[in-house]
Amino acid sequence: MKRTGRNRQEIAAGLAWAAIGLGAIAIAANYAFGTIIRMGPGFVPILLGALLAVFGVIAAWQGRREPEVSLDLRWRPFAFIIGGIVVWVLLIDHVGFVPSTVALVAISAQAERDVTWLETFLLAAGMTLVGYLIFIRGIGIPIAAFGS
Amino acid sequence: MDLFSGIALGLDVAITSEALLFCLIGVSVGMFIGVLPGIGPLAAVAMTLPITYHLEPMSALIMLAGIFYGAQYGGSTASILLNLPGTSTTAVTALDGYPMAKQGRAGVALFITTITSFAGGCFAIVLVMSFAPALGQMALKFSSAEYFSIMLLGLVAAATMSLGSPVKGIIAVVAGLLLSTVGMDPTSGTIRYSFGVLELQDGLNLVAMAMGLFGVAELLKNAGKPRDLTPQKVRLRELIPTRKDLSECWKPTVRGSFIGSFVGILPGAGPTLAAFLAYAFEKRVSRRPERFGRGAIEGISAPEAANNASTQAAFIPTLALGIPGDAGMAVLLGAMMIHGITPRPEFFTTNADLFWGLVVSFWVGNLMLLVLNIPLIGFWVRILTVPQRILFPAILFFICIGVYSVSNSPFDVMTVIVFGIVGYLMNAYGYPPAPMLMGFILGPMLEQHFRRALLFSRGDITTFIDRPISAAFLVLTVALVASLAIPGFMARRRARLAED
Repeated sequence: MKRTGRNRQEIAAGLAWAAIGLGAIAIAANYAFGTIIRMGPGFVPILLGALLAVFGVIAAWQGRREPEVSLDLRWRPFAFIIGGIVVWVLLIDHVGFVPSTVALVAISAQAERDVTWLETFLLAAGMTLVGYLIFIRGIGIPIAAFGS
Repeated sequence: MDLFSGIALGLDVAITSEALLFCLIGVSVGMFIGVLPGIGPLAAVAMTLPITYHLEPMSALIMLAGIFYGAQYGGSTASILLNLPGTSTTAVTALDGYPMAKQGRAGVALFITTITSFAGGCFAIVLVMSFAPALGQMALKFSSAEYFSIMLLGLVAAATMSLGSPVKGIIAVVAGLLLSTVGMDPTSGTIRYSFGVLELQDGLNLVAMAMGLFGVAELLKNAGKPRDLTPQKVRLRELIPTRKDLSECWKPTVRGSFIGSFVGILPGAGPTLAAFLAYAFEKRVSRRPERFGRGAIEGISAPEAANNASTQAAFIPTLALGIPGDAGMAVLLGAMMIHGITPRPEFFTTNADLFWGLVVSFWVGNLMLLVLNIPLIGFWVRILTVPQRILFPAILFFICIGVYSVSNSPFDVMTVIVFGIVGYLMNAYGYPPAPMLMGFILGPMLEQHFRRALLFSRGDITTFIDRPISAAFLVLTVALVASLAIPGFMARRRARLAED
């Protein structure tokens, strides 16, 4: 970790919140604002957007003095965990519970480097069976085991 | 209804075979999830919430509450044996619990935390029984102005009393409030912030958001990090504390219970703060403060009593006012609403059986935890050693299927992914996700009461200070903000945190 006089990432984070606040105001400008007695749907969102913008700027200002933080992103676990869920969502309504769950477990297990193929296989089979028994047989949620 | 007839009614409801069964399932699952490092009570409740949709409201509540305080118990095990707190609430326990374990006193530490947790929990349950109905009585007179002010106090407390920067906490709350406006405005019927997406017209799903912020975000934070998985050894013989241990820890337990209960009653301040305050207090009153951090028994008994007391006491504002004490309570409150139970002042008379049944079940559950925890210590230790490569895919699976089964919506699972990434980024930059969830949950109520209060007062903003109870809440809110603005206080607070 580098220590510099300016902390770019902290400042950027504060400004990002401020930008979200301004964006919220811009969108809410399309909703009726109303009066203080009869507030329209736009009143509270604009108020909140303004608060977010103000505090975002304050956070950015304070961020100048904070020690440098930088995002310690580990790509491998990140990609496999997010990827596993994405694949599950894309598959679930088309191929059914069993294939999508096998895919989720097999993909997300790769997030850790030390996993073996045998472990992956046993885990996928085990989770699918347990999940099938609890959720489809037990609770009876309406998902097909196979197919859509 | 007086206390004793209430307890009698509660016993009737809570000592049925069905209630006992769901209480047992709840506390065991909670304990199990709580023991797993990195997953706290909030994620535990969020993960199991969908399963309870198919139960009777009473059973569902008993089970969810059991999971909630069970996870609180379980968290301390990971702290003591691995120095890996399951949640921020038990991080304090690791300060002295882990050194004790390294000195070969792991068994004693586990035994003491179990007993003090039980004591703290019981103390607070008595408070819930005596004060929640009374507060409910008082709250019958509340109008929109009072509700708005107390929620504001709760949100400001949640934002500023967390351990990081108060400004970041406020940003998180405001962002959560803004997220709560997504969907249809109940007054005008206007659809807000839907970006043309059909699913967003009903607003964001609470369970999906909680799972993303506290489930997936935690996995992203911990995955790929090597961790030491050799817990300190525990033998059953070593569990029994000496007479000296017991005499050293009973006073801290009582003090911790008081501090925890007080913090728990405040809306917005949760068990983490309770544990930190109790620890700091013990260190201050101790004659030999230098022992803290090196295995002082007061250092585990006070915070454990405090965090469990606060977990139970947080039910007071939650049940009496419908205002959750912390993010975990907020998820529990969401669960109650899904089951068609809206906590409000009348709750204690209209749903007397539910209230007393639930409170008595807390006692039953705490007793079960006491019995489960100590003899099964070997089993809990074994769970601790399950490697992440096995654990994480299993957790992900429960998150996916759990969220999906709420309304069979793939969109909700996508929401989990988005909030998983949001939560990960927020954690990385020191923005606390819990206040954001608080804001999201209280948002609709806050907006409604704000609009209604000003409608009734014909736009006169002084309505919030003209009404004495509302004014009192606002004074507390201002005092809270002012105490942060005073530079000396901030410096001292920082110094103390750095020292701990």
